[in-house]
Amino acid sequence: MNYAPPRTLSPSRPDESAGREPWWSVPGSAFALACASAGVGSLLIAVAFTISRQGQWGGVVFWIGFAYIVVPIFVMLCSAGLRRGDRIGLLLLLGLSLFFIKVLNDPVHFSHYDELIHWRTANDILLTGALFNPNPILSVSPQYPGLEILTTAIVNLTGLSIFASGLIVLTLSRVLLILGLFVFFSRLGASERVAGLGVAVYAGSPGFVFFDSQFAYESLAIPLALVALSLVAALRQGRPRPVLALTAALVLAALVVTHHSTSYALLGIFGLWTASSLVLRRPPEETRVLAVNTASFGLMIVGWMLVAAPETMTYLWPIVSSRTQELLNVLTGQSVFRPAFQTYTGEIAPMPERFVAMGAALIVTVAIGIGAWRVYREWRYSAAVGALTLLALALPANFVLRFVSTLSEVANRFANVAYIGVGLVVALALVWLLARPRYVGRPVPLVVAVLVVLTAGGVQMGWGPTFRVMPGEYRVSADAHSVERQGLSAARWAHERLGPDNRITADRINRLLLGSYGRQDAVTKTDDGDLLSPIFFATSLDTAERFLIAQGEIDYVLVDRRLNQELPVVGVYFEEGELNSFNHRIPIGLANLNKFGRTPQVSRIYDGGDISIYDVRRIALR
Amino acid sequence: MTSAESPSVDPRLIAVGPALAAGALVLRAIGVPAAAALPAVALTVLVPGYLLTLALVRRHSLTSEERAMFVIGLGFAATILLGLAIHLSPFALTAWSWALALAAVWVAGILALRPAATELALPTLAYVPAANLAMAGGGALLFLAAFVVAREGFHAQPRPGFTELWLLPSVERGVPVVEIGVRAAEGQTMSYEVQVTGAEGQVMRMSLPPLDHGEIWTRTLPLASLPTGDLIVDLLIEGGVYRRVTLSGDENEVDNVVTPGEAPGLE
Repeated sequence: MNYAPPRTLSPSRPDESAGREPWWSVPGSAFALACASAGVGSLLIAVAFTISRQGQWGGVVFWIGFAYIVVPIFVMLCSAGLRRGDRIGLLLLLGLSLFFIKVLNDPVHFSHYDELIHWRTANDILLTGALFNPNPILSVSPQYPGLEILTTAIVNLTGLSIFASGLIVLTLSRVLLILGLFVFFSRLGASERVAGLGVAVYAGSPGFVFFDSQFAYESLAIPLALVALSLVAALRQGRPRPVLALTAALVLAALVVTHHSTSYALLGIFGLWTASSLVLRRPPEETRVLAVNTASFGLMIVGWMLVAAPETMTYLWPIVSSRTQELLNVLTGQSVFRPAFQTYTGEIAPMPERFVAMGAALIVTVAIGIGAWRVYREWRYSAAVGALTLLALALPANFVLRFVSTLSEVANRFANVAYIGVGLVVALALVWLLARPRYVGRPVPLVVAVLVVLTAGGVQMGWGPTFRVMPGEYRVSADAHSVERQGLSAARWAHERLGPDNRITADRINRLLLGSYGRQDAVTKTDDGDLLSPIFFATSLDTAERFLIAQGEIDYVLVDRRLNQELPVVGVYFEEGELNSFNHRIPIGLANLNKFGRTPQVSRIYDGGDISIYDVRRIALR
Repeated sequence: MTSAESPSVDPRLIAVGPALAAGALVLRAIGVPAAAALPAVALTVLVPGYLLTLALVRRHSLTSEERAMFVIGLGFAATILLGLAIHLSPFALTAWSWALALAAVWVAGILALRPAATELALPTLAYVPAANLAMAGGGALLFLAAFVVAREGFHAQPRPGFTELWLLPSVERGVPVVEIGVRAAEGQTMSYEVQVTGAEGQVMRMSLPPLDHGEIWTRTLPLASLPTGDLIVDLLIEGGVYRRVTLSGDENEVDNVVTPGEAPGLE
């Protein structure tokens, strides 16, 4: 684009590899070797998952496969002499290979909680030919249909399943994420090597391997946000550019339609950027462009909320207020910190994994410090880099939030955005390290080790210990580990035999299956917001429980007796706020679950072994 | 570039969008969705993205990775907004509406932009030694093998078998009936018996034909043929109760049948 080339963000001294001609300077050599190695790594990971599905421990094989993917790529990315095409090829390979781990984990259908929510939204669009159909599992999902519009367009034009079409969209989104990061860092003036290492550091964000590889709106929204950032980075400089401004508006509008939280996060980044521009006294034209962009994006967000997404605040506000309250409780001593590296079932991550996760947090904190110092020394007048540095500096506080039970998920989501800043700032620190062999001896192995710990630690922080990553036998309330044939079959039976849209309540996972594959109006709360979980925890269906059933207009209750097997892995059996939420000490009693079969006027209309469905319409009348 | 200077548009270029749309629809219609994916992805992502990137390139110099990013990113953005536009139009979001809309976007975009042949040239690729291509190809095959192993591993995962038994009241041609159904999912052929028990004792007992994995058996009985009061239906294996469903006494009165999907109003 026609603006003065920015000052290059690169070390002030040449690094030790400059001037040499490594063997991978031959076109395609680096990519070919890394591709072969990543292929071996992926195969090992597939074998590890298969071993794990057979009930054996595949964790070691998984991490060996992981190393086969990342180590050769990180080694070559450290080189300053790498050809530009090869560097971008390596970054795409890194991004796609790590995305492929999620595909290997779920090679047949979507099975994660958020994925089934969006599957329902997409399926409704296909069935009705229209957007904004109500989704009983997450009412706000249909109001941000960007991902589903793209997916259903491909389903419509091909006849492929939502799963296959979703994978196509997610693969392209991952390509966009990598290119977006590289282009954005380059637009800010980063050298090829800094930009490349910045992308590699971003691969260590908690959501990179699993969460942002899901069929969920954030997986598309973050790449779109990066395209928008790249466009604004170009837009702010020089004379007015109407085509560029219109293009940026188009991307921002699509982002607003795709995901609420990412839009707000991007608005925050734009706000920081504008504020930095004011503080640093950048040219008025630049500050004006940034301010206009921020204001117009804010208006788009508000406009969409008012016109098409009125549920947004109803959905987000309770989350914000309850998380804030819990944080206050922890800070004032009314509540305790969640034990680190321990699941809600009491399982503790193995020692090496704890070291890796803590090491990643420590390394990234130190590296942010070094990188921030480099920014101060060499790039303190760039408003964009300043804003990204501030964003990166917020990350260490984010690590603390992980020790508050319900805030760990929020912490992960924030980290996925904060890592845009962390990527650039830590890359500056790494390149500074690479240029100083006399301080650290052999800088390349050190930098590679740092990157490996960051990416492995990102998996740990984002998805939990390896035993939660590996597929395997049924676990209670454990998202993908709980999605299996009995639950799927019961959901499909409900659709085929009961018809769609019956009011039905169940545990967290079966509600998800009933709401998606079963197309039922699956609820865990009454329309007034009262939790329905007391009807499961009670020892008998007395007046209060019958009143809840009546108030919730419940037709059927699905009971999964396997809930009695163990504590809920995610901390709740039914819904956040239930009795002993995130603090269950003993599994829910079998007698509590079986009481429906002993209650007069309740018919057990379905028995699938562990799962039963009861018709409770008669007792709701009372 | 003004229209006076614009080159005439090659009709074959105009036909690209409609040809992609037609190709996707035909391949879908003849039942090869995987083959339809290529024109469909080109149409939904690359067509609008390519046109918008072309408009950008005319005014700003872009690197190859920026072009690639904009083709995908702007393609995503434009298709999302096009989906909203179709939703707001009188048309539904169907294969035909998408095909027509995206083909129209292409035709309109090409006529508006009138790209010259030089603008359409693909970037030249650097020479890559055959050994490197072979190694990268081998890597790609390993990715494919990994996917096959993961799928096979998924299907080979040991899972407990189960059988579903159900008992559903309904009304058929004005006559209240109950449907008893069994679906076997035990991973092997199973032999069952069904036993119906009323308040007075056993009403009927019947042997089912052997059911393979996934096979369903159903029997519909007029409610009038069954005793009033609570009804229990057991699925038996070798004489032992394996599954049990029940119908409460109230439900089992002929005038009081509540069929699925017809919940009584709250009093």
